[in-house]
Amino acid sequence: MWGNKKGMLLFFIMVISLLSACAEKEKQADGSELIHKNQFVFAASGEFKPFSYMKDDLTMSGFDIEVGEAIAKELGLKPVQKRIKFKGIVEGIKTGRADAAVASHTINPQRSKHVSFSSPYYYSGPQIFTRPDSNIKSVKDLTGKEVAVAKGSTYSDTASKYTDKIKTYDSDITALKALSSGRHDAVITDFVTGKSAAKEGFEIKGQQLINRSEQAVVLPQDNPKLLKRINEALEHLHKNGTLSRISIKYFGEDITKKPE
Amino acid sequence: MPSFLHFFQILTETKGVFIKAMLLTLELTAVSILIGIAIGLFFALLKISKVKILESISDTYVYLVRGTPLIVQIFILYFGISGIFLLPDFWAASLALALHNGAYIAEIFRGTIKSVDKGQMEAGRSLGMSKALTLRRIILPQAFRRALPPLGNQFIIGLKDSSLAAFISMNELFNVATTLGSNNFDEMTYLLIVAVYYLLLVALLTFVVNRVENNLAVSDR
Amino acid sequence: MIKIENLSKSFGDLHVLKNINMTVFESDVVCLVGASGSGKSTLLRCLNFLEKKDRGKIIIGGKEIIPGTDNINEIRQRVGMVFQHFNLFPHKTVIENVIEAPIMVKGIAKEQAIAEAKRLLQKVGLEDKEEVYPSKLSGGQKQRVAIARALAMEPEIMLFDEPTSALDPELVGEVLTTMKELAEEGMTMIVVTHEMGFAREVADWIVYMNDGMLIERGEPEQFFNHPKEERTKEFLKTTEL
Repeated sequence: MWGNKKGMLLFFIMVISLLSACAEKEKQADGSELIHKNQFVFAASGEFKPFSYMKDDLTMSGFDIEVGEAIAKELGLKPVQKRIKFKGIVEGIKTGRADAAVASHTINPQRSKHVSFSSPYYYSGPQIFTRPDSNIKSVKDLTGKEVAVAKGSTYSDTASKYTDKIKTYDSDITALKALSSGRHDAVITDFVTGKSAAKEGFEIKGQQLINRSEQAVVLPQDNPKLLKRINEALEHLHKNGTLSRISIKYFGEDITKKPE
Repeated sequence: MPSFLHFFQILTETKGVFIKAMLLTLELTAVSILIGIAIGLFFALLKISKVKILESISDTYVYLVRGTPLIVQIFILYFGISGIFLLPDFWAASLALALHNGAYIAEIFRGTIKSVDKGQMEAGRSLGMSKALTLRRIILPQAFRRALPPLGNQFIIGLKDSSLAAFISMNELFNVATTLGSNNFDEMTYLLIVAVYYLLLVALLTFVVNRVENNLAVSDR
Repeated sequence: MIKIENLSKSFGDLHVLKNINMTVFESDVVCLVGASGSGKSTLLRCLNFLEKKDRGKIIIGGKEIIPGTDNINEIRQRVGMVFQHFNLFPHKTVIENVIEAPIMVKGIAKEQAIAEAKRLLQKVGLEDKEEVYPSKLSGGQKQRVAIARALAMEPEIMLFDEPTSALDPELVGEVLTTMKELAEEGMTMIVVTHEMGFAREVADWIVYMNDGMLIERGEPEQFFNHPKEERTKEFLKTTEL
């Protein structure tokens, strides 16, 4: 029933090798590397409205997507979206499934060990969301309560500081939907995401804004030239008002300017 | 590239968390199979009742359940009906699993009931036993024994199906694996680890089912 | 005891029983003989309503039995049957086979049913096989258990549907012996069989059927030695006697 022990080991080795194979990249004139020449392949989840969400034609749209496209234009490259589940994006960048990720990643030390971050393209922060009739107002009230978060997000780290009853979903939207339908006690997610969901009719209310965070583009650590080019592009897009414009389009306010 | 040392290190470190998740997986599977057997038996009996309406009900149930993905059924029970009634996540998952497995189990029972020799029913009836009594005392016990191999198989399928409960935030094996994997930016290692746990469970299940089969085979004709 | 009037039955287009008239008196042993397909088994199975007759009357103990009006399950308690392929319950031991119906149908207390079952098993010579499962028995032993099982319900009539046809030749004797003893005790028996030796020795009446019709009926002496009908004579030529 167990077959050949050596055979199984060999099989495992093959599987692991195959699965961790990294994609070959093309070197550009300026030393940066791209998966495909002339294309800027950027990843997003499509599950984080209004930052990224699926349209009916199954392409992604949203704030993050438009920023990604703007960056591509600055770099003189064709933008190509790549949908990856949020929990798999950082690893996806590491293994070369996309050139970069424009997916609202909060800059934090743990992630910085594995990938590089650009300069921030917007400023936001995690907020507690509850049902309208809830008593939970601040993080103190979260002790012993059940909090739902998205897998792989910084919000689950945040939540674990205040409670150990944590439920994870693949997307923040699903977590908010569950909250809205009566499950769990709270959700921690980006204040913009929650606000947008509330506007769409989710039965939720925003409570304490826990802290401020900076969101940036994610790149692999072995592509410093591309990082430099993207930072230059972002600086340009900040200065010429493109980022502000996109922000106001989606949020009615400019979240791309660093708060005081 | 992940080393094997790394794999075994994480395997031992996460033992506690995974064992807890494994127990939940087992719980989900066991409950859903037990309820599934009851459901399957019920619909199988409807199907052989020779009453047209009852047969149609059974056919409709089997058609609907086998014709839609399990994940859709889980979501309906978890999200869909929460407007009317809030099912706890464990029950949403295990009921969806039970209903889903039940359809396949109904077909298993229908087949094994039919496979019992016609002479058994005749013998029972010739002794003055009613059709229902003969069914209960003579046919069903035999049908059940014959159903054990395919039921054992269904048990294993149900075990793997339970991984879909991850999508409604239950902390069973698959959810724990993907959560830890993304938290540590190491999906592959954790997926391989959870594969090992599933293999273990399947081996255990197979062993138990074989044991039960052998014990009941004493009386085989 | 049993009277059959104008019994007819078809399976679709196949007319299997054509206007059968027959009377069986108490303690009679009647052997139904004839070629395969002559309708003998069907006739037998109509008597305990395992087959549904199309036309005619079945009168048991002076009263016509009408399915739907009468409780057929109760009728079947009075009419025992032994099958060609035994049909023992494989998931129950020998003694469990015998006590099943008395307990479940008649509501007899378990100890009483067991005591009676032991007596019956001893009668058929299988008292030492009580705890054995049918799969471990020879064909002859199985059939004797089947007889004990049917007798446990204390029937007024016993129907035997080719009881030895599925047995190896060397096992036939033990079953016929049991049946003979039963006959000598006065049980009313209708036996479909090809065992002419048994018929000659034990039967009160031989009934020959052909093509769904009752051709001839007679006491053994007359039937075997001086058959009246042409077809009967043809048939007897094909048998060993």
